[in-house]
Amino acid sequence: MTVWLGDFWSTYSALIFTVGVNGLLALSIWLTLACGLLSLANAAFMGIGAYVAALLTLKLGWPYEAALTTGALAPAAVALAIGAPTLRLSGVYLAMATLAFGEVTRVIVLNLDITGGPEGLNGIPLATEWWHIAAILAVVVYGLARLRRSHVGRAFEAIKEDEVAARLMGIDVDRHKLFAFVLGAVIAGLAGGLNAHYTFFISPQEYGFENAVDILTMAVLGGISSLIGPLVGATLLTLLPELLRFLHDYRGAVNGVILVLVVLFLPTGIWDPKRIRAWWKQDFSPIPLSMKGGDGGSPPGGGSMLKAAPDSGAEVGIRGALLRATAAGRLCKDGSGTPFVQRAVTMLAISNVGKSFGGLRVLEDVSFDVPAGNIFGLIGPNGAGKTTVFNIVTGLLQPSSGTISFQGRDLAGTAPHFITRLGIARTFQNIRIFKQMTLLENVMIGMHHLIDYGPLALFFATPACRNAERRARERALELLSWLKLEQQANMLADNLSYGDQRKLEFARALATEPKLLLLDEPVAGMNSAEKTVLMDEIRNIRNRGYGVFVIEHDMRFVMGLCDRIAVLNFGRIIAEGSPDEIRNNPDVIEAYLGKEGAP
Amino acid sequence: MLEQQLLNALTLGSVYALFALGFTLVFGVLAVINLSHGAVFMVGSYAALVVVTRFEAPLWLGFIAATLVSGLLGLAVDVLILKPLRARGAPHLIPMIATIGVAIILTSGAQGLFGAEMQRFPEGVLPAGEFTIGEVHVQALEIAIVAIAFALMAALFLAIKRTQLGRALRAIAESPKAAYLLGINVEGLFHVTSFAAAALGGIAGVLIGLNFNAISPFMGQPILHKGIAVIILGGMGDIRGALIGGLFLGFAEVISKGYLASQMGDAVAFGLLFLILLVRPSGLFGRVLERKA
Repeated sequence: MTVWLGDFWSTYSALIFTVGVNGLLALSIWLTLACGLLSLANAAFMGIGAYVAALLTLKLGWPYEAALTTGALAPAAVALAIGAPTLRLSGVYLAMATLAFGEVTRVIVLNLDITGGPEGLNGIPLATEWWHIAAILAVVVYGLARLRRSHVGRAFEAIKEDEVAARLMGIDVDRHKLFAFVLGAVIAGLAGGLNAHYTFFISPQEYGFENAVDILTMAVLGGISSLIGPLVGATLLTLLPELLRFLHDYRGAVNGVILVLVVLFLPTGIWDPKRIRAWWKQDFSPIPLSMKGGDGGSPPGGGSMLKAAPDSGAEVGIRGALLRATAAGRLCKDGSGTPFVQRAVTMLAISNVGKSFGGLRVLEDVSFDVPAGNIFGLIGPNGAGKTTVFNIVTGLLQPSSGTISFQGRDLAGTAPHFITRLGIARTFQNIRIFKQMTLLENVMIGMHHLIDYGPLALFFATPACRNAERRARERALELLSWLKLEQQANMLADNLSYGDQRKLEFARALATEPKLLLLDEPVAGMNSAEKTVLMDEIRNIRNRGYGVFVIEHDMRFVMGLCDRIAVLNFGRIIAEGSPDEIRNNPDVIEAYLGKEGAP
Repeated sequence: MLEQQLLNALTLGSVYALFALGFTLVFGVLAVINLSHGAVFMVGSYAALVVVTRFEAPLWLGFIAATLVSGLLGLAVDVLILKPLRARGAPHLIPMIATIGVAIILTSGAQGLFGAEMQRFPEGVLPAGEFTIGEVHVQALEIAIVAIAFALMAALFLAIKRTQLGRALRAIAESPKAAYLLGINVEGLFHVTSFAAAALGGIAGVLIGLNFNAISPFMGQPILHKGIAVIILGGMGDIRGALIGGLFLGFAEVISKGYLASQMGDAVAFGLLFLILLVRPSGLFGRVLERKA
């Protein structure tokens, strides 16, 4: 038995090692794919790791572990250096740029003396033991599994689905992408170092375009909707050529056929958790929500922030901790329902803002103030530039002239995610929820910047980390149950009706704990009962001291709701005042209301 | 010697341009990075080789065989693989991976059928003539290669600029959806494009096979890299850019091989490509036919 095992091991150990290393590589590209980035740089990162680690042990006699670590850090440094400019590219352009980077790396290695040129490096110490690979693979899988379930993992998914919406939920998209890219480089570098120290020999040929494509293929073949997928893909593609030896020269063709068939018939890869579950016929029922205490009845604790119910001061403990830093949190402790902030205080000041696209002037000399504790309406005919105002306020567009300040702070050049963190949240005219995420996750994305724990806390699942996640989950459920969406909390947002999608977007915006809420046509597509409910809720939000800034077409809604209204026509403000003043303003009637046949 | 080099560069560059043209056409119209284009190119050169050696047919029949075999292959890839993926609305990464599978199948299949070793066209098939202009030796073969490549490219340009078909293709490149709503047979034109692009690739394969008189199952990979370089340089999906980029790459390669001893030239070239992408994703020469999602 032991003899047999010994034979088996001596024949197949290299193959088994390779399965592990390829597993690491597939996981390294999974990270970038999880953010929706197609980066083909990982073969080059592996090569950098392999050469650095091998040179350190071979030429400088470094201990293996130190060389391996340095081999992981070197590609990370490179990734950090090229990441910022490269990751601005999207889709195919990113793939091409990373491909070009890979070629540069390969050709440089091919032509340097220290790397042995095309002959490669020979005589690398055989230092890698099976348990090195097993331990590193285990740590990586565990770490990535933790990451997936954290706010970072949710942010990745949000970025993958809708980068703009993710930015406006307070997610620093560039940093998250860079993090995925660099962490992927670390894992690929580790794989390279491990690989170099059991193959004895490395050459530039092993880190070229084909290898980059192989790594991608493993991940996609296995499926990227879970961490098991890339491992399955790596195992399959490593073992298959061995199993198909009898096909000689044609065996490569089988790889190709399998790849094509999987792409055609198993779109989510071989290992798709949903399909596997269906196979096992396990009914995956949602987590019972009653245990959260919501249960359709009176919302617990923090829900009170949103409903001006008299009992609102009762339970603020859970959320109080979460919200301690925000004005909203302080307001909610007041509990009386009366605004804390003085009404006349200006929240958002827009002064002389102009915006042109090319030669087209969309906004001209627009000025108005949105006061705290007020509902401010911006109306105007289609194409008047209303949504452009929102895009400028939220930092998606920079004004061509003029200034915007929020609570006295000039917003010029402030990144969208930072503006969200300052306390401005918005909804979109054409709903932009994250359709492939559950309702709960959607709302939790809104809390991204309020959840704060470090990578170590995440990895070791410290109480701080677990509590933060639990609080966020509870808070998200409160928001959902306030909007009567709690029954669907674990459903994919894609399955929601139109009106419910609007509500979800509303909940998500509130989850960012805004001081000023921008609503872009919030009642579009809602029936009158829903409109009435929403109107009440918006008033409640106002009464809590928030500023609310609404763009709307529905005149009855606007006139009934807003404290102040500005009218935008052809990029200019033509009137501003109370609903009554606007109703009777001849310019407005001519430009807008006249056409509507109102009042 | 510079004139000699320039002639070599023109020959090589015109074939690169022809190859990249098909590559960029597919990207522009179908929005797919077709990584099987190199393998289709290789299949084209084998098709010509088989016709010329096994059937002892003249070379022009070899060209026709390459056109048909490669073209039909391209069509088959579109109908059997890309079409179902389009119907499913698969993200752009997916068709690209499927074409990797096709490339693997073709390369491995050619290796099984013809063996891994390099093969040559037999003596007497290649146009033999040679003449001298001043200091420059000009081979009839080179003239033929440049002439064929430019004739095909000119035909394609005219077809795209002047014909109804070309206008329809440009409309699709802007927005397949809008084109569909205008009553354009989008699927049909996807098939036509796939056929034409692959046929151009196959002919480029024969031309390269003739130029170096060497054919192997692995000849598709290096040219695919060059095709990628060309369309980055010229702007992805840009046809004029592919022509300029192809010629440029031919010149850069010949000049750097002639005057720079080291292969470091390649590193510089790809380094430049990398920078071009960062600074000007639309390429140096071109405008991208960018789609509105």
